[in-house]
Parts: sequence; structure tokens; C-alpha cells
Amino acid sequence: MYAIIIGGGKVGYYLVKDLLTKGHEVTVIEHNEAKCRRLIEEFGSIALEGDANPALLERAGAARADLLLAVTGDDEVNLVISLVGKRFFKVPRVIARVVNPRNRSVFNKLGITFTVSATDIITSLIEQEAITQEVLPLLSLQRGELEIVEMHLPAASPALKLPLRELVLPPDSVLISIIRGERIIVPRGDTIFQANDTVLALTVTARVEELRKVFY
Amino acid sequence: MKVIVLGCGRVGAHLAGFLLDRGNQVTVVDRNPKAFRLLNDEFAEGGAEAGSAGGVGRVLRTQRGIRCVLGVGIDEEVLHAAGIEGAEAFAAVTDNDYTNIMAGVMAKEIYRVPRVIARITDPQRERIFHEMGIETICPTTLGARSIVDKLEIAPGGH
Repeated sequence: MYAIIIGGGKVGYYLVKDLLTKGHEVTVIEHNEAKCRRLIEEFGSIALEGDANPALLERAGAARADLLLAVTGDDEVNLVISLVGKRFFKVPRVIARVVNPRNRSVFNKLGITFTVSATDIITSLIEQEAITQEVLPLLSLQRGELEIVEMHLPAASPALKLPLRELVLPPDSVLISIIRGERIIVPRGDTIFQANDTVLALTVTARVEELRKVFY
Repeated sequence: MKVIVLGCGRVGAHLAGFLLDRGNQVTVVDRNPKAFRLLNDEFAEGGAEAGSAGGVGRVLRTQRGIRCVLGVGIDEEVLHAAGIEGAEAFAAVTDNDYTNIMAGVMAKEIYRVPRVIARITDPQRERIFHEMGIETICPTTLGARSIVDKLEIAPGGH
């Protein structure tokens, strides 16, 4: 796969490293001369020095690129280059970094749907922590709307001694499995919970608190 | 015509003045409150200095009738305060090409402003933006061409 990375700073550098290790072809566009030199010293002639403008993108072979990663620290640059990449060079996959979360909706409205905002990710982690210590988020899906969570049932859990069918789970939640000691139990209507059971559940992030109340 | 000018540097301030003189309704947006001083105008509210243009998104009017909005031109709330939904023209003339293009694309595609022009200082960028349907003004090439005209040497001539 041929990837073009715009921005050879902290984010870009590690992306270059990762993609090259995986055997992909990479070109990185960076406007700081010193950073460019370091990239070339470490990775070979994969860096083009210059401002991220369409002409340079053309020189980098954007027309044949499979992936464009716009990861500079500047949202305006990332947006403009993403648009050029997508609309003019028809790069099939474009991913943009968004620094200011307020700009995210602008990117989306203009058709750049794959955006990554570190601030948003951290904010949602903070909010999850704030909701509960007892529900451990394992995996976030669908851009943070769905979660797989893990709950360790205490001795005082209201769910103990009741069969699953008598528990009122929030809508859009499903129990995936129960880990009891070394056994994995597939939850069924007649499954009865015990203290120290670890319950894995898939739920809508907005309903995590409701789910927590069922088990704690 | 209701026009929004993004960027109250020398270009923006002059542009705002010209537009106003020709009878247009002008709103200027800039993220730096001191920039509005270049309009050489007092604010209608007790002659207040440009520095007190209020909080972000607040609209103040100068004596001559130019509306000034403090804020970043790619922020949707600021654009809303500037009246972009009813704007008939949008000129992005900050000194940053990317800001101008981004704001221009937003004005054109999200807010459907009929006429959108972006100032680009790097001529290399012009071609592709034209192909993307964005009208641009490149002071660099305009300036160079004017000088050539004045020197009365045809480009590529002998």
C-alpha cells in the first residue's frame, strides 16, 4: 500500500515508522527542514520538504496513493489537504487529525468522515471514568457509541441468586459471557450469578450507568 | 449586497471600506480585536476602541456602519454571528492561505453563499483550487503582472 503522510512531527513520525515496518510504501511531506533531514537520515529518501500544497502532493504521487494521512498540528492544513486528496486526486482513504474538537463537524460536513481527535478520545475516557469505577471499558466500537465492558460482581451485588431472565437489563445491552474461576459460561435465561463472577457485556455507551445499577 | 470579509488586515480593511463605499452591507471578522483599528473608524457604542469588541462572536458596529465580529473565521458559531446564512458574498482575505481556503469551502458548500472568493498568496496552489471550484485572487501574480504592464514589457516578449 502506498501512503502519503502530511506532517512529519510527532504523530507523523510514528506513523511513518509503523507503516514502513509493516512493509508499506510511504512518503511524508514536512515543511521544516531539520525534521525532514532527520526523517531522511533515519528512513531514507521518503521525505519531501515543503508546504503541504497540491503541487507537492502531485509530486509525491498522490494520484496513485491508497491512503492519505493529514496529521499536521493545523486543522486548516489538514482539512484543505484532505479535500484536495479526496476530490482532486481521488485517494480512496483519507484520514485527518483534528486538533480542535469544534472543527470536527466541519470536516464531517465537507465529507471527511474519518477524523481523529485526541482531545475527544481523552474526553470520552474521562467521562467514562467519571461514570463508574466498577465497569471496566474493554473495547470501544462504532466511534465510541458501543462498548464492551467488564464487571466483577461483589458479594453485595443485587444480581446475585437471581436467574438472568429476571434481571432487567437496559435496552441495547447484551451479556456476552460470564467468567467464573476458570470456566467460561454462556449466559442463558436460567443462569444464576455468583459473587466474584466476571461479566462481559456489550452495551451502548450512553447506557453504561443503567447497566452498572443492575449489577452493583 | 451583504458581504462578509474574513480577515481585517490591510487587505481586509481596505476591502471593507471599498465595499461600504459602493453601498454594500459589510461584516468583517477577525480573531484579533486590535485588527479592527485598521478600519479607521470608531465604534458606534460610545466610540469604544476596537479592543473592546466584546467577547467572541459579539457584533459591534462602527460609525460608518461596518459590522465587526471578533472570532476565528472557521468557527461555525462565529460565522453564524457574522450572518453567513444570509450572506450573498464571502471574501476570505487573511494572510493564511489554508484558513482562506477552508473558510471559502465552508462558505460555499455548508452555507451555500453565492459568491465566494479566497485570497491565495502562493500561485502554486491556485490551479488545483480552481479545479475544485473555488474562486481565488492571488495578489502575488496580480502584483507581478501589474508591474510588468507598467514596464511595458510583454510577458515572454523580446
